[in-house]
Amino acid sequence: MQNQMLSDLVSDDGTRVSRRVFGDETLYKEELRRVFHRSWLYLAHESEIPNVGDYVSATMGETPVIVTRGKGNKVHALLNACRHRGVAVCRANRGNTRAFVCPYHAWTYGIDGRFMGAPFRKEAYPDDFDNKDWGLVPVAKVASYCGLIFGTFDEEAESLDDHLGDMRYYLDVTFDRRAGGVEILGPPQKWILESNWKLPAENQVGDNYHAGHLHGTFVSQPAYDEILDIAQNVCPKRGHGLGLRIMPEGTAPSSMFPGCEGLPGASPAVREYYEEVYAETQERLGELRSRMRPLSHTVFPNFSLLHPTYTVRVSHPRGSHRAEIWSWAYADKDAPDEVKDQIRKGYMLTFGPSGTLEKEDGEAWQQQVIGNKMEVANDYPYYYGMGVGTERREEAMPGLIGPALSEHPQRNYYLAWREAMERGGALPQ
Amino acid sequence: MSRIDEERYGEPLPRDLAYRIEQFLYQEARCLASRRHREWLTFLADDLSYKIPIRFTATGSLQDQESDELWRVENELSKPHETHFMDEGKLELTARIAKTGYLKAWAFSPPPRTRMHISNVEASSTDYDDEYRVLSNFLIFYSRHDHEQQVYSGMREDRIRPGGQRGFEIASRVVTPDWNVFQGAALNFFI
Repeated sequence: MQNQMLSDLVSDDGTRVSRRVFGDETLYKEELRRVFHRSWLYLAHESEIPNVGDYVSATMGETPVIVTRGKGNKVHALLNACRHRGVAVCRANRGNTRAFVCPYHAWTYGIDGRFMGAPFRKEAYPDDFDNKDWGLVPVAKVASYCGLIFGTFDEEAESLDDHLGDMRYYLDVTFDRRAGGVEILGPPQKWILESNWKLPAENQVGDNYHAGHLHGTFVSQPAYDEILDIAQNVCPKRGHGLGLRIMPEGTAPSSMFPGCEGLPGASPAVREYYEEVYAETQERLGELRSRMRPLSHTVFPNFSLLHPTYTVRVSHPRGSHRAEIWSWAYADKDAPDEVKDQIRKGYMLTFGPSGTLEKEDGEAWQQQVIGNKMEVANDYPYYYGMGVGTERREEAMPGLIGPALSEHPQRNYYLAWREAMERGGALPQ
Repeated sequence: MSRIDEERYGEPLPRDLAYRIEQFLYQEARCLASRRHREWLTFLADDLSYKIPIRFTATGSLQDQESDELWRVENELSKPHETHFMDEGKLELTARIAKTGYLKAWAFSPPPRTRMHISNVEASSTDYDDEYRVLSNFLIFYSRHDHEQQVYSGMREDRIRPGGQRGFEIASRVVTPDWNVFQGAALNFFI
């Protein structure tokens, strides 16, 4: 298979995507290397590890890592494998510790990953054994934006700020409304989808189309019409995208809450809270951005958020047709407890494995496997041409902007995937 | 009452009362297996509190070594103010169930095949004359479409009162799940 084949998998205009992109085992192994070993990947939120010694487990692609808070509040990301024989040194999903001790031979590492010692270190190890050389393998680069911690294995990767690009302008609408930012409301829900990992990411990059159909028993026709009427799809940078409601000028602050009318999480207390802090939001975000009520976002390759239901999530690859979703609820750090509680409850009712809407998404994503596995239909690509040519640039805000039913964020998502794959050269036969 | 108190055994209820409560739980399980979701609501008190916390792998504390405190199950569960799988009342459960009753409710259409096996029922008295503490284990077999199939295990602590349309009603239920990463696409059944 030549590099040429990658352009057969995703057409130059992004309107045709081969089913092999989702179902091919060889491509899956290559994308672990070409996409997940090189991209910036979401690890955790800073509020999950507030104190020195705090840690949470995470994965980057299929690679287990530990995210820790070291001395001087520095965040570290370390491969969770002993340098001696490869045994996992962190055996819990979260906690606080002074050291990670390998259960096999007790090689011991600091919270920052440095080698601290091993039994018979003096008696049995040669003179040229240097502690400095045997710390846990660090993730090459770690950086945060609005408390969102990302890491990449690629030492030559562009900075996180450059990777996010103009997506930051839109992420601020969710995470920088108030001075304290947001905090995570508890451990993540984790569950398995027998689905390709890209499907959830592609959905959240800007699929407003499905809301009125897949979720038709929850999203009323008037609500769907309203979304289609006021929402726009935005691609701030190739790979990243979002659906975005921009409320008309003069909209009452009581209608500026993140949620959706009629969905849980839009209780009077929540709405009053957002009304009360709206002046602060306007000051921080400016006139236009304070009128923005985003729907869903994806940051390439697999980090997403759902603004109306207060959740961030990662679609971890676990095989060509197996994904592990980690999903957290968040709220403004300085929101009253009652508001946090109602946001948390609204999230659980709608998204996560018990969420009424998520259950329907998961059903669609799992059922897509049927089409992906039809090798006899490999010459018949999936269609991503909805709204082609409607995307445009506007002075007022960054990115390619199109109507709610334009799939340009999806097209650019798969073109970003193709570019990442092409950087790795020819595909193996 | 937000967490299962695993340490307390309690005074078993008299045989006849315990028997009737056990039968009530079996009837509830059969009601769910038969997909009579609206009818299931008649097993639940109007002021129901229903919780399924998240469970994860935690570490113990050094000072708790050589004691049963070291691996307390409670330390592996999300706290009351944190994210759960479910944390709601009858109003929310009623709304969930109302939305399952449509051909285009795609998470339930076609519906999964589920069967809940209840065992280890322990019914004991509480500080209140008209409220019983009932522990039970569950094993749920879940099957959907042609091949999707999982088994889920856990424990429930119920507060059950005499009354309601069924002779008893569930006032609160806290589920201790036995999974960390949930091995299915959705918690698409009721426990």
